[in-house]
Amino acid sequence: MSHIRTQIRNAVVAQLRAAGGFGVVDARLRVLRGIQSDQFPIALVSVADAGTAVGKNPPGQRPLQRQVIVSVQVHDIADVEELDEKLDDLAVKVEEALTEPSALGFGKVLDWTYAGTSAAHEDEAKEMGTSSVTVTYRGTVTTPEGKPSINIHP
Amino acid sequence: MTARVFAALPRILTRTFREAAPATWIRHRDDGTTSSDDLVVIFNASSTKVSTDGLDTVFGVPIASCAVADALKLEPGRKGDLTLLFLGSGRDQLVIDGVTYEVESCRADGYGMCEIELFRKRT
Repeated sequence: MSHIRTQIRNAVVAQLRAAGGFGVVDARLRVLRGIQSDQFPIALVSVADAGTAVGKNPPGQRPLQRQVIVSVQVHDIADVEELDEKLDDLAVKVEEALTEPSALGFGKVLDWTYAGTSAAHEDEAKEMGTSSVTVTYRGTVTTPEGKPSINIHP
Repeated sequence: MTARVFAALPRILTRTFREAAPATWIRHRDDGTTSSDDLVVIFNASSTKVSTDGLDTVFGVPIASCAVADALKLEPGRKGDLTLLFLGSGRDQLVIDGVTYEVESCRADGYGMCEIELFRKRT
């Protein structure tokens, strides 16, 4: 089975696609390929994690708590006057889609929380009329040590 | 609109520098249907692309060009925005000399030609 990060990323991508309103929803590295103007708005998903082993079992037999950081970067292309508002509207869609972790289907996740959103930055917007904000969620999933694809709490 | 003085240019270019056989232009439409037609292209399998500020240089980019008029004859509905004459993200493909390329982006040069940036998948 695939890594828990892959499972989470696929689940978030599927959820955002189902939510509708985005031209492209994909993993972050999708930016390495071309994206044409008619495909905006875009949502790019990336997942990072940081692990802590818990309990007094010997190394290799402990549960591993992985704090996962899910970032959804939404891009849109628009006139400058309405770009901020459009990005926030997209952030609304992301928050509506990701608030309920049980809908994502990768098993149980502890303390699933909205962590924050970055501000849109003008550097990006200046060049081609696109800008983005990144919505971040945080949660903890537990896997056995050495078995990163198994969620202990399915 | 192409200035009149350049009107003959696409025809001359595509006649002089064309690939030996025309490429096949495949369009996967939203409704699930696919159509494909022959399209005469000029092709360079490994161009070098340099961004405007020179910070970004990409080697080995396959680039094809074709006459806008030829493409519009096959897809008249796409005349509105010529940056969307060829569609990326798996919607359009070009088969050139037996190799299938995906469209990345395209732009019309204003003289009746359209330059199509392509991508050759590893799989």
